Amino acid sequence: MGAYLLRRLLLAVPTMAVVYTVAFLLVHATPGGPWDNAEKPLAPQVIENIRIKYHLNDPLWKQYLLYLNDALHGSLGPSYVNTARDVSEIIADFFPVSLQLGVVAMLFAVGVGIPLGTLAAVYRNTAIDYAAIGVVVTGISIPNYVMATILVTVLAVYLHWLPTGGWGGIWDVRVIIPMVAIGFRPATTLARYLRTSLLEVLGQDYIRTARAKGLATRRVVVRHGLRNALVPIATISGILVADVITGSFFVETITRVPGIGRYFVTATTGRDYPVLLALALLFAVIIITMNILVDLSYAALDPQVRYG
Amino acid sequence: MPEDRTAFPWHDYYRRGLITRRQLVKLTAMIGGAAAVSSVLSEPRPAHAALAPAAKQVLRYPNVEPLHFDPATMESRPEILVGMALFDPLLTFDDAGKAVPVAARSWDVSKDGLTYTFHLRSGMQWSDGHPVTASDYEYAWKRVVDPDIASDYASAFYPIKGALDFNKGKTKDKNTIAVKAVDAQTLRVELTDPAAYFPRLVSTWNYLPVPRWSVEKNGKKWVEAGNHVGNGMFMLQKWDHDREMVIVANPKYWGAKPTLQRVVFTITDDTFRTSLPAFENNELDLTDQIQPGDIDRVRKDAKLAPQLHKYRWSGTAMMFCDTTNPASPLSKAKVRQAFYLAMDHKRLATEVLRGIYDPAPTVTPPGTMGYLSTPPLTGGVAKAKQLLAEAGYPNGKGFPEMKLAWPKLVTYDLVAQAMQQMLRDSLNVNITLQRMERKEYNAAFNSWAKQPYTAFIDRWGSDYEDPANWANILFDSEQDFFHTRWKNAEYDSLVRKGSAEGDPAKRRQMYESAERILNTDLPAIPIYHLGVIIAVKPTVQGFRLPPAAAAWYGTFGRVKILAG
Repeated sequence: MGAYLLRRLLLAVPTMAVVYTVAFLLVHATPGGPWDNAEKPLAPQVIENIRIKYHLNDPLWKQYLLYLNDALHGSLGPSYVNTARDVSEIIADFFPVSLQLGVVAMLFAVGVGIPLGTLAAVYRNTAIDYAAIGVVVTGISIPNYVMATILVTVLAVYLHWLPTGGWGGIWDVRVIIPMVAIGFRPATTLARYLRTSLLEVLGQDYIRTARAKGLATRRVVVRHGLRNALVPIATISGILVADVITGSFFVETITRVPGIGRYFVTATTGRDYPVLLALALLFAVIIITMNILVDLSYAALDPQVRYG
Repeated sequence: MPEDRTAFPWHDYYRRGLITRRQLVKLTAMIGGAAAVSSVLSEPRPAHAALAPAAKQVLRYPNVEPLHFDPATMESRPEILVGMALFDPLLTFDDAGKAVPVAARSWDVSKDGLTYTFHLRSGMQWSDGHPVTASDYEYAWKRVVDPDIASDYASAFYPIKGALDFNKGKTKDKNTIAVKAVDAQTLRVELTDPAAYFPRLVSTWNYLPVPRWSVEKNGKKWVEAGNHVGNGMFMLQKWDHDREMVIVANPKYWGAKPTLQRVVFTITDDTFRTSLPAFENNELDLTDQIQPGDIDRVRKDAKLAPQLHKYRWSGTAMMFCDTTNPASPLSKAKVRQAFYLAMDHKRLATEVLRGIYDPAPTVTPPGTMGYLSTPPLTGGVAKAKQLLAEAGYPNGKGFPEMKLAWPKLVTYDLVAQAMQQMLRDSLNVNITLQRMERKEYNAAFNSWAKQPYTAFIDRWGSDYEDPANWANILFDSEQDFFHTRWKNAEYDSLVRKGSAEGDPAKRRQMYESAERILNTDLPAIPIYHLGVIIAVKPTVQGFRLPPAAAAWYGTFGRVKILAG
């Protein structure tokens, strides 16, 4: 297990290098630069001063090495757009918020998705199953930012039950709308996969044996069925978690959550190269970590899986 | 302009009970005095209404996350709006265009118009208790021009002797910049050429002072709450990045203390999308971010409609034409004139843009010297067809492909499509539309010579309401900020003389003549003048945004919260 983990971590290094290089080339290939931030045209000398200050007149390879050198020495540099702040500060400020929101959204997804998928499988082809499938189809069809807009309009503007947005941590009432908006789609994805997986497991001989032995349905489903049905779910969960943490740009904007997602959008539109590079690396770390965790979770769920 | 002004929906507002008869009469009477429109449109409040207690003198306002409040590099609306409350300029301008002393009690101009001497008030303090001196202004102004600061607005200091050379790096000696604190209360500035608009420049945010000791102690972190020091009516108390920011009344302020004690800025990325729902849910006391798509709904809402107020913003959206590209039909003045006359400005403003903006028959907006109340070109579609035929395209026949580009903005999207339709219907010509991301647009724009577009839609807003901020920067053939490559010797001569002319009457005459040339030859075809619709809770009294950003000084000082 330890050797396996070490091997995976070592493999992550070249992956990160590739991500970094590709991201560097891509952000520099897009038209416009940080000096194009202003809505008004700038005097030529002003643009020249900005280019000199941020080494933008240097050849691309030199800029690449400059960034790399700084990054290897633990400095992500100053933001080009938000000149008063360093990239590491920005990430330290905003990433924990996205992480917290992602975690509660995922808990919501699991809390709703697992029972929903289980009910749909157990009550196959009944009204409960059809209702569950209806919820699943809704979840898959509605993008999270549309869901956020609907929730804000209904729960805040019309009913005045909740604030329209903001952030006060995971125990604050303002977490509800973004949590549901972000978590709803993964919840239905989990439910859909779990229904299929559980139906397959429930058709297995050992389940029939368990039933024949007179075990209660709940015990058969939860004890014997669910555990095995969760193996394929673990696979998609890794992707879902990474997606939830990194892919909530628009929900964060609509619900005024100060997360890293919307900073990513700001950095992209602002051509804030150092921030974009740092975020590309951060997101790569999240995805790699989730992949490793998923692989490790197989061992916990399926005793036949061994690492070494 | 009278015809267009009549189109403004005041009568409709009156019919629906949104404004009183008295206001309607006032508004109508002031059609010609657009500078006063904003104050008249501010909401009616019973004069006797009781004020809320001091603890409730709080205004909740949406804002985009500012980058910082460093006068050297402040440039966007969220920064300027707050920055003008945190610092005192030497002077400002009132709605009538009269200079009003703020930190300077007076100033003198030498006979040749080249030397300005500002005399500061005595006894002023920074929010941390340091005395405010002329050196603070000297330090701040020289700092903006420092190439290491790389300020976008360094060019606003180029009229000062030595500033351009220092900004270009030709010299490293800051003392070559002709700004000097003669003593603690006196600041002297020398210009390269006479510039009648210099006091207007001085009223802008980049000319605000800076606390040297805090900058030197905290480096770039001096802009954070806790380190930030200002000399304005309010001071920065809290700044939770991307969440919330609070400014509070500055107890050390030299002037009259504001009634409003705190402004709480809810920070959001997308004020257009998020602030109206928050306003409706009573999380905000006002919002100035209502998009055209929401206007009809809000106007029909019995509760919201009376809370809406419209203000003029000094700015114009235009179609900037490449006037020299021989492959482009827009290189012919008659085609530009035909386009101008074929466009129904009134319909564009009232129907397409839902009355948020006003029709723009001329380039320079009302309130700025040079503004023409009647456009020089008239004749409508019939004349437009005639001009197009004279240009060699009778009934649009043989009209070459023309590409119109613009940076992504909902109002540009709407007007571009409407213009395409109008030109097709009235002149039988087709234009190709290209919407771009702002950065992509700016990149194309900055490499104008190589880009394939024949015209751009963009806008210009007044930093300060002076023709130098319009005629000289945008259309002087040597400045040509929008790359129209238009050259008119008479125009150049008029605006260059105008910028230096000290006699206001002569100056006005020069700029009006220049404006007549501009609006006849039309290197830029005006589309709409800017405006803003603001929703304000009935308990908020006195809020208004002057039409140019430099005049936002004092915005929060005017606000009072009524007991509600």
